[in-house]
Amino acid sequence: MPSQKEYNVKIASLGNTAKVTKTMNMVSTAKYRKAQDAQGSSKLYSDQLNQVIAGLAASGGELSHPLMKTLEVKKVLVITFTSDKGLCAGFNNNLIKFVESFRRENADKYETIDFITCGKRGYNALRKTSTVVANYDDKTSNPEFETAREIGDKVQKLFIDGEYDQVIIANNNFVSALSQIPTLTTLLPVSGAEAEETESTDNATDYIYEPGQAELLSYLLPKTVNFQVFKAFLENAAGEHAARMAAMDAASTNAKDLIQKYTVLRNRARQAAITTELTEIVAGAESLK
Amino acid sequence: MSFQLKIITPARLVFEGTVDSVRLPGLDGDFGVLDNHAALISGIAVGALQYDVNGQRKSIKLEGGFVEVNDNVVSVLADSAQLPE
Repeated sequence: MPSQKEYNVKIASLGNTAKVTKTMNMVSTAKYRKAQDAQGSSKLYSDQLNQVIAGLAASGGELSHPLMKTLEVKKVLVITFTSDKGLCAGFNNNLIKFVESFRRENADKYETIDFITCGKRGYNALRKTSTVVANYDDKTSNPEFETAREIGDKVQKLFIDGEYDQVIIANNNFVSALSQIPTLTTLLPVSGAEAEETESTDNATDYIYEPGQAELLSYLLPKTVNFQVFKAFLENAAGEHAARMAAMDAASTNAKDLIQKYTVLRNRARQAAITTELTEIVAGAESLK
Repeated sequence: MSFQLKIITPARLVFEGTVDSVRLPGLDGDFGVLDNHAALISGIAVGALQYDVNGQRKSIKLEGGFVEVNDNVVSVLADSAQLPE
């Protein structure tokens, strides 16, 4: 049986762990709120953007653009979003597993499946098995539109140059603070269906288009694509912080439980030591008689 | 004689308020918008947006985007926007 001292050391170290996890929980909570606010403000932008696209779509006329061109899919580029740091339960692993199974299932179907990774975790996992075209570190925790634009511009160029026939975003879809589900969304080619979906908000306003509709569309589409990348970034960030929040909360509870368990054991050990000592004293006194 | 101006970037709402007039860097050159302007959707180049409130002119730097004018609401969607210091 371990001695009292050993238990004391154990309890002290558990106490320190609990302190760390509790702090991390609080930090993640703050970051999560910030990420949620960012998501809220991005909604303003997306609503307005949808309205403009809806206006354009409703105005009739054939919408066509190199980014909307559907090709026979042979070369696929997947953009994955993970966090840079761990300690957020299954958040990264779920996505990596999901992406890996997508890669295995479709390995025969497509000629190549390459990756762009955002976040260290995804990069470290995927570079072992596939080609990673580019990796963006230190961007996912606190996303900036600048990064999204850089990635968006890059994949659009690759798509238009014919390097890839399809670009897919793989990220954790933020359902709620407790649930994030890995999902794939096709980024390129931009589907016309999307424009039609937003048409439901259509207002019969007769807009003046400056410059013409076609030019405007070719100006607008790349921006929608970049914004979609940004949205994936935001969802990933909110998910990461929420997942870490939950994981750290669980860790703090576990540490507290363990402290309690070891305190009981320590007290038992102390009592055993006292009993033994007493028995020895009594036995010693007896033998002196 | 005034109308609503909103400047939105993907990251945040930069400006929202009532203005008397606004001047925008359109793709085909600068243009001004007063109240009761016809519905318009236009691309915006990199440049400065200027708006007048109570005779005071203010300017915001924009980095490309769009503007939608409809029903006395001017919504500017820019990639990024910088308020004057």
